Amino acid sequence: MRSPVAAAIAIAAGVIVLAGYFLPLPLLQVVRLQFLDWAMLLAAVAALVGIINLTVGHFRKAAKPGPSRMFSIVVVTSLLITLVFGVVYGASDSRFAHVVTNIQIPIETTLLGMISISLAYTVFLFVRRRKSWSNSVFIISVVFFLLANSWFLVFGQSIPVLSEIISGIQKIPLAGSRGIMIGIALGSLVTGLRILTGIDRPYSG
Amino acid sequence: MPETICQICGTPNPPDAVICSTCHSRLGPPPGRTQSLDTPGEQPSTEKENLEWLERVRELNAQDQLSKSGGFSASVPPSIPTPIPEAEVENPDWLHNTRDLAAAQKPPNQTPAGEDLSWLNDLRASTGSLTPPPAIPTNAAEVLAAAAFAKHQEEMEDTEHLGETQQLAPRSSIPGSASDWLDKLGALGENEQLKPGFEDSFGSPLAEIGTVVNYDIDRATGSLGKPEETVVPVPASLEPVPPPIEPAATPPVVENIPPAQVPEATAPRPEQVPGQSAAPAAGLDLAFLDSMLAETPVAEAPFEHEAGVLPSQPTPINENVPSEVPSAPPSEPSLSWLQELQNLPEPQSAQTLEPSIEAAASPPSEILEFIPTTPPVVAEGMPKMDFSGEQPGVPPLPAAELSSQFTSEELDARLLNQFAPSIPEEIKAPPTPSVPPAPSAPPPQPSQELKSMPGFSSTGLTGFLGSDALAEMGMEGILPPERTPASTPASPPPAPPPIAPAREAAPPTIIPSLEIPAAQPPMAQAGFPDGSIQPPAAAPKPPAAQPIMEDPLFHPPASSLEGIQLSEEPYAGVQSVDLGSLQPSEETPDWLKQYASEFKVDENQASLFPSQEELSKVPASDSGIPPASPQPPAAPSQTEKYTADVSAPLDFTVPEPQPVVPAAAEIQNQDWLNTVINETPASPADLFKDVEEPRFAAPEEELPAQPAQDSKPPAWVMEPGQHSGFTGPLPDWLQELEGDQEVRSSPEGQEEIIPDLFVSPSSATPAAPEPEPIEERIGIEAAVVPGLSDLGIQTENLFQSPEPQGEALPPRKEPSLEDLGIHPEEFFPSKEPPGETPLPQPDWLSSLPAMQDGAEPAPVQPEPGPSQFKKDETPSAAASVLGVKAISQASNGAPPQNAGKSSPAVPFGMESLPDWISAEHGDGESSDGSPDQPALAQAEMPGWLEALKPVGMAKAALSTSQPATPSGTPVTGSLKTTTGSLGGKPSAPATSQVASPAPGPKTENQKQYAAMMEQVLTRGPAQAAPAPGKKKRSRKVLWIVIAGLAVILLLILAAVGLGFLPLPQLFSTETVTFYNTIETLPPDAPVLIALEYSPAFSAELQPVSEAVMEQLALKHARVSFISTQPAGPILAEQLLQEIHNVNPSYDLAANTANLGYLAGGSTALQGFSLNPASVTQTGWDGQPAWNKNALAGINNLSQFAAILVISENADISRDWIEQVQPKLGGVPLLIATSAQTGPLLQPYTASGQVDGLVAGISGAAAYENILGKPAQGSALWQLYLAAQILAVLVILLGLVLRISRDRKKLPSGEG
Repeated sequence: MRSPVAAAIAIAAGVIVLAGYFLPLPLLQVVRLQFLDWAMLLAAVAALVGIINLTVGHFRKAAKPGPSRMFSIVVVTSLLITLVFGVVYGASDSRFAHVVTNIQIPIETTLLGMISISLAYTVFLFVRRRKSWSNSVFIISVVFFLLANSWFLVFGQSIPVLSEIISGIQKIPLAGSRGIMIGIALGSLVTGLRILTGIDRPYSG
Repeated sequence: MPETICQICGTPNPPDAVICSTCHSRLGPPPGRTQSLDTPGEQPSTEKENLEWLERVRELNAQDQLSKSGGFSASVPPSIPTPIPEAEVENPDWLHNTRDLAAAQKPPNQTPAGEDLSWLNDLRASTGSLTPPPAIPTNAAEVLAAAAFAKHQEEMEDTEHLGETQQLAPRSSIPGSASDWLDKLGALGENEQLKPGFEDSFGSPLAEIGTVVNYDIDRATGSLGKPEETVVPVPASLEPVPPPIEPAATPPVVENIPPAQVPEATAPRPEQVPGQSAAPAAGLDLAFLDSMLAETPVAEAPFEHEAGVLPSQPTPINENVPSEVPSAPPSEPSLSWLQELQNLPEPQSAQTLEPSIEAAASPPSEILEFIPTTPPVVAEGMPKMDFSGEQPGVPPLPAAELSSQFTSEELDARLLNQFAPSIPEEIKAPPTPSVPPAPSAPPPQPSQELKSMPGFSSTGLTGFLGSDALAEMGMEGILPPERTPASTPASPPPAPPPIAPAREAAPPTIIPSLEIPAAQPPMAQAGFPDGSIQPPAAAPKPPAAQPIMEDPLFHPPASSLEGIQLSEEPYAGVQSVDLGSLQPSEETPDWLKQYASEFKVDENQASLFPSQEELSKVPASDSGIPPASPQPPAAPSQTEKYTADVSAPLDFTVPEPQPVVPAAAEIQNQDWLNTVINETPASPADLFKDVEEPRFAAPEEELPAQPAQDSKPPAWVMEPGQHSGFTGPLPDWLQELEGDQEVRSSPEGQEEIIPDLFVSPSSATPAAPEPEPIEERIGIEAAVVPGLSDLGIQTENLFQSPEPQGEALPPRKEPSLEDLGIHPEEFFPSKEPPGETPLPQPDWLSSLPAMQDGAEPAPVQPEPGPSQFKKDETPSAAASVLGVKAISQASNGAPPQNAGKSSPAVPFGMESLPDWISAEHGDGESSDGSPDQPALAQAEMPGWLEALKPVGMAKAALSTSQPATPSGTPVTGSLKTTTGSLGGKPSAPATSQVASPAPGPKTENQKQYAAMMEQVLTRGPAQAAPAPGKKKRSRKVLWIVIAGLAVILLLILAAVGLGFLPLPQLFSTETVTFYNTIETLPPDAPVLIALEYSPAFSAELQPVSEAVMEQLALKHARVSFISTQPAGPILAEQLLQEIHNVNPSYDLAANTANLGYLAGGSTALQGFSLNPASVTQTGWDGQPAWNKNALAGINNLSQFAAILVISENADISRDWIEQVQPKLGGVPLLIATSAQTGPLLQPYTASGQVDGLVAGISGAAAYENILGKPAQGSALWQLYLAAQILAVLVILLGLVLRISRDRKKLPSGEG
């Protein structure tokens, strides 16, 4: 009977929050706020649990001999150092901020930069190996929009017709993205309704 | 009361028992059967004497003489058992009534002997056709009883394996015959048999018979009850026996009775033995009596049985058969039918067996009405059976006396055994009807006519019929009479002769005067009108001298097996064929036949096959087999192609077909055996006698010039049937193969047809009448192999060096690549790719001679190389010698002795082998160079071996083209001293002609395809090897170079500056709105900034963040930071530091507040939007944040002047838009995002949910440009432009490379 209870709780909470969103009832608002507080609290606890789980997993990998052992050791070590610094100095301490900003930011930025190069290389290989009409369209669009967003078309911005053409071309990706956003919104709506109706029960075992 | 002892089996039974519990025979005599049957003319013996014969039968049976000896042994026939007094037998009432009636109707003139057969008289009286059977002599009754007992035993043996509920199926019998009803009785239950009226069941089959009348006992027992009309002499050896129990009524003439409709009435019942009756018979007579009594009585004089006189015979069936036996008067039951049987002609031949059988299938009517009875206990008063001339002295069996002389058992036995086989004199049981013999029983030998009758089986007559005992007993009235030879019709259907030659075809006779036809059942002799029935054998033979005949139906007569020697088979029903009598098939090929001859392995001969000279010595006429068919002289025959004259070394000429060697005399006529013998090696060494080991000629030896005709390939390369030992006509499939190869060997076909295993393209000798000279292709010269020498086989003559065939065999013109329009040099550029270092090639590849442009590939010449094997080091394994030596020859590079000659064929396309394999060169011409090692002389490989050459070697054929060394060039390498070494010079031109069994291209398209394939094959190995590794390395190097160039370029640009690159001049509306919103904020306006981007995107979003922050700082706005990302508060702190650094007057403590991390995602935003103070009570520093100046007067989000969301994640931005924006109440929501998220948030901007949007570096650059303060954003934007240009260039480079690669592939494929 665990599954029906969990489903009932989940559905009730979702309905209350949704109703409180549309119905300005004081009691409903209070309950809704309380549910939101509990959700935020549970989210925080979930984040903490995730951190602990990650730490434990890396601890085990570090203890077990293997090729990925060193990486786990680094992860665990970094975690511990950061934890110690945060506990000792505090989160708002500038020194702790320097540890984060001077380590985390460069690393993540570098990785992001490599992604761009990888994407370019992938496109290069994709162009070389496969030969099809879709491949050709992709390549042409990539090249065109790269040029369109680059300074190559800067000279055309002053030309009235060309500027409109360029602005129109720049809006083409927006149309695609709008379609994607609509799809995402619809998917989110359907997912929420499925949970509220009990069709999907990600919380039950 | 004392126990009742069964007279048949001797087992004790309860006193009140009527039927024996063991043998189911009647324990007492039937009513009225108190008299035993005596032989005619003799007084019935005492009861004691009557039982003696039965006892003898038992003894014999116990000793298993009856079943194994195939008949009754010549022992003393058992005497007729003494009938049990009637008072001691408790018979049912109906039987008593029957007996009373019978007694009342007993003829007055019945002799005392016939009183025993009174029951029969009653039967005859009821039917009107019965006559009292005469007394049956004792010996005859004993014979019958013995025969019946034997049959019973036989039946018992047959039924041993059967369960209690099982029983043998009634033997096939003529419907209505005595055996038929007996069989049916066997199928019926015992109770049914006792039921009165059961005999009606026999009416149905009888109704089908047609003119067959009632089942009259007279007809069935007519021979027994008939008065003596004709005196049939009874043989002296045959003791008089009681007359058989047969109706004495004259059987009516049955005319035109379909044989199939006539039941078998003459087949003796196996279970009926003299003195012993089966269960059906035990009660049968009783029930039968009822039916008989119901009919009109016939007063007939009892049949007076006289010794040696058989009762009158029934009317013969075959009207055409003259009968010397006068038929009995129709009013009287007579045994005329038996007489007719006696007078039947000789057995029919096999050709006319069927008609006779059909005719014999219809038994006489008398027999149809034969009523079985228990075998007579006392062989007394046997009716006289009128058997003419066959068994003199055998008295007829008076039917009237049967009832008085015999008990029921005796009569049954007699009746059933009337056609029993002859038995020895010792056994004199009353005859009983014959039944088909059991397979295990020895086959009897009835007369020919009897045998010819369908369904007649003489097995029941085992040892009985035809025996002397029968003759002595004078059992003339039991069996159908045999016709005398003189009475044989002019064209009677021949009776089937006996099968076993060891067994005489004399028919058995119960009575010496009776000779039952061997091929006809007794019924057939009873006088069926079918003219196909043959009279019985003319000359009766003494029973003792008459062997037991087999059933003609199962054993065809000997005459039908003329010319075939038959072997005796223990099983009578199996016809054996002596293989020795079989003549050899003319289709046996000579090459098989010659194996029968003994091969003489000459130790001096290199080949294991005998030479042609030796074979020619074998006289072909001795075998008696026709010589081999002559081969067409025009085309070389395959038979000659592979004939190896091992005596003459290097002689590959095709020998003449040798005659077939005759097989041994004893197996000459056994074809199959010849084949087995010939193909079976006598010794293990013989297994290899057909295998020729390769011989390697010594390098310095000059192979003797062999005429083309004399040269011949070694035997081991010969085709089957072509061997020197195989002479004679070849099978068709071999001849066809010869024909195909002949076509290939023709000059015309050589150019087009790819050589197969046996044919070399260049070994054709059109002028020679010989077949394609395979010997020319053989380049492997046999060397002395220690292993073979141990076997006494010299290997130097196994292989012969190829002969100069330059003149005789013009080189085969092969199309070259240039002729086909293919220029390999176009596809194999000699230049290495730029930047690529040539990969080291293996030595074996480098040793291959380079293929010159436009040069026609020439046959690969062997190059002397390091010799792996020396002459004396050749392995002894015969099977591996060839390959090993070939390799050794090739490695040595010894040129063949006939290197200068264009050998027609080289195994595996030796002409195309690389130099290190082909030892074509002379001394010191090896590519690798081992001057210290002598080169090996190459030999030529046979065509079939050449065809097996791997495809990969074809490339070597194209790459190497060196002229063949002239002949006489000494072979270098370790095989110098060997002769016939592998010659490097291939005899066949090495070109694209890869040996394959398929014919060469004939059309232009085929030629082109072949050339293309050749090109692929030749090109592949040379280029495929280094490609994989080289390709990888080149690719890696390429990309390293590209990346390095890119980095260097960017660094240079970064150092120099990209100021020359224009900044974006066009600003989007969203960017302008964003700027305007911030710009229009009042001073000290509270602004909430949500720093939702990750550190990875800080480089992209920090410029815009700094730009906005600077503008707010200029406005002295109170900025509060919050983040739902863990790193957001830290990034906010960093941003504040940057702003303070830029604008130190901006007081961060008074104007800023950091609310810290808000966990919960969208839920937390909803909560924050509802009550931000309760959700974020403390700040990042842990202090209450809502008490700070930055958040003074702020209770909800709508009290902020603007909310700025800086995030690279579209979802987070969407959450702010969805959760917070509805609660803002007109507060502008500004979003600064990355370039990838900008388009995704563009719709929110268009919908008005988002007031301002700045996306990516370009947006930051534009915003800075708007501000008029180019900062980090502008720099990044310029750098970003350069990277974009570089990415575009890389992409275009990939396109170009792909196009170029495709373009490179296209020409090669189209060519």
